[in-house]
Amino acid sequence: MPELLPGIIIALPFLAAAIIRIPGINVSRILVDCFSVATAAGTTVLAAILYTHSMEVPVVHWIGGWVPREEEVTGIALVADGISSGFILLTSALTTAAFLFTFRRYKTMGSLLHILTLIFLGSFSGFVLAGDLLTMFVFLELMGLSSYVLTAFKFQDDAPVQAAFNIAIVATTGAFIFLMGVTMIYGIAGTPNIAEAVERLAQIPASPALAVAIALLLTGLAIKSALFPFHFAHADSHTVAPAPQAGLFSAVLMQAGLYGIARLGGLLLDLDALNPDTFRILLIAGGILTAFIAAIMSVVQNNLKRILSFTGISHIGIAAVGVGIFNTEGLAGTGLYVAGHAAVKMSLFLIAGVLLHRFSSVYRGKLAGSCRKNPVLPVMLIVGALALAGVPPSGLYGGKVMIGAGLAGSGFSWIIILLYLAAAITGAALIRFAIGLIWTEGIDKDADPMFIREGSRETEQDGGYAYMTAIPAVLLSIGIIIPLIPQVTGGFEKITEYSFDRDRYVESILTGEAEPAIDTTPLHIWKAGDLAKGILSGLFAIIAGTVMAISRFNFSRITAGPLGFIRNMHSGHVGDYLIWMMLGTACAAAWLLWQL
Amino acid sequence: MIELVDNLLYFVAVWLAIIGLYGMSTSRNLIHMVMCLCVFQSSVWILLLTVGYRRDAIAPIFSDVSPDEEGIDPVIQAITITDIVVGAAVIAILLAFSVHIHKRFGTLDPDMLNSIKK
Repeated sequence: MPELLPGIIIALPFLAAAIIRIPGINVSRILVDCFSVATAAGTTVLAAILYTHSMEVPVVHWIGGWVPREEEVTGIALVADGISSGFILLTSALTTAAFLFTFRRYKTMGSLLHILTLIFLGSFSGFVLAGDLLTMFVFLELMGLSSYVLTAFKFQDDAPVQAAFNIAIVATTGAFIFLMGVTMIYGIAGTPNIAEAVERLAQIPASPALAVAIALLLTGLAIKSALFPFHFAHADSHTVAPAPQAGLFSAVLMQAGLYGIARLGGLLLDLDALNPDTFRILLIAGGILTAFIAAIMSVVQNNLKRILSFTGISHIGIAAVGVGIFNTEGLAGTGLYVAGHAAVKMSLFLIAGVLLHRFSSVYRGKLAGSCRKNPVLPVMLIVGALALAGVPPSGLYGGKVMIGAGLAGSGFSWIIILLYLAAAITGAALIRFAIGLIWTEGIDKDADPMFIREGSRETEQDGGYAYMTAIPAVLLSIGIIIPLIPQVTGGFEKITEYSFDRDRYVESILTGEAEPAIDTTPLHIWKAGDLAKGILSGLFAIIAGTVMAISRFNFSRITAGPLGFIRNMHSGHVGDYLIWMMLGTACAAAWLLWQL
Repeated sequence: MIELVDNLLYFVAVWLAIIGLYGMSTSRNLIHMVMCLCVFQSSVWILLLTVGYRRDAIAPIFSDVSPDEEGIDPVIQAITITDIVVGAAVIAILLAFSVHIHKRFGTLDPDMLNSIKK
């Protein structure tokens, strides 16, 4: 029975999306809302069941019963291990929260918002569970398609259509670069199945073609996961999508690309023929650059959703460093980091949704002093900002400590300071905005040089503020208490230990038998030194944020110098974005070829 | 000579990828940019078909020939069809976005789109 679950988890949201279109169901708003919530919640339950089954050994589903014969793959595999089923559990839970948030009040254009979100959920599960590269590509592009249309959802405004065009061009080109890599791997190994390809590639010597193929595969996924220099269009897209969907993009869509990098990188770069350090250095350097550039950009924004989108990109940079270390602590830390960040970031985007619902704006100048009487929302923003900065006991703190342990294990221990600094800057950017909601000193209400032509309401009727505030409050508290549960940190280490083990992966797919995972001793994450680092970065965020909030100096006016240069890179021009993308791809391929 | 012809297909794929990307990044019209994306996608399809092609092999239809006969890889052809469908969906969506951009901005020149400022 558990063998069927991966197929059902993918099919359920697609089926629900089709059923919603049936005339009669789609006229009743309440019915569509209830049906979507039920589907997402059902997927969450199924994912939880699948997770309990796949904790020890992977659950492999061969579509149509085409099992391998004599260790030769004949069909299409869906592979659920601890990491993939846990990731689906996270995403379907967040989708349930998004549907609960949109309940009754959000504009949905018929039932289009629900259908696109359900397609997003289904294709996400498909991408994460895919056992061969071509299934991965198809679901990657389907996930992209739903996200492009969701980006353009408020097409009455100017910015959403432009941002949707930008992200569609850039991300599609990225997906086809990925497909180019898939084709080359197919040409070299003669099979699209990941396990079989890995097994065959281990027997052939390294060649320039293999290096280029791996570079194309990994840059294709890096374009989807918004690493520098591929993040520009993603920042635009997350800014203009409806708030709950933007939260999903920032919390799990980019991280799906990073999951692909971890999965394929762990399997393909473990080959004796290739030097894994080249890839490590590439990912760690790219991650640090992403973390800092996006953190700096988040400070100079006046639009809450744009601040949040840049903080999300900054944190994906930090997670990419964790993946780049490629040892158990680093990968397990990244898992915990992504889970904690997803809960916190989703709740922050939902808070932006509440602000937009209540005050019809997310701009600092227009919202100045608006929450003075009832400071619940600014307080929640500040708590979220501190969690982002890595103050214990948030999931981001636990993840960073484990990434730090992984960095120390591979001799790069100084990098962790940079990661704390980048995270503290993102926290400061958010605190600056939150203080502006209460205190109007230093805010220029009339002239907003950063005005993006977007900001019409996403909701239809007034009211329901308490209900809409409760959902992000619950998510925020979950994101904060995650590492306090001792099973969680140990569980992440246990499932990464076996999920990214190449031999175990190959064996469990080709023969259907695998040794069960062994228990590991969980890392102790409550050491005084780590706690001090977390609290210090929180203090830095509070002080820097307060200083920026009350000073009359407006960062958003700077257009020259290094900061101006970084800002001008984010030009909103799709041609510029494509040139950055080509440059990044060429650099990655050249680096892998040079280090061959 | 035959080897040269076989390798030529790889050069065609690389050449189409390069001119497609060049056209996209220097384009002054969004419809033109979408067509350049189509050229870029075609390069990937040609690469796929080239990888799967085998000289002296028959089409993979075994209704009237013995299954022992050498055939061209059918998986790769199925994949190419699937990817053409995926590509068509993306092109359709991009053209729809272009129509909306023309409605909102009155132009299709990417240089004139100014709704997102840094």
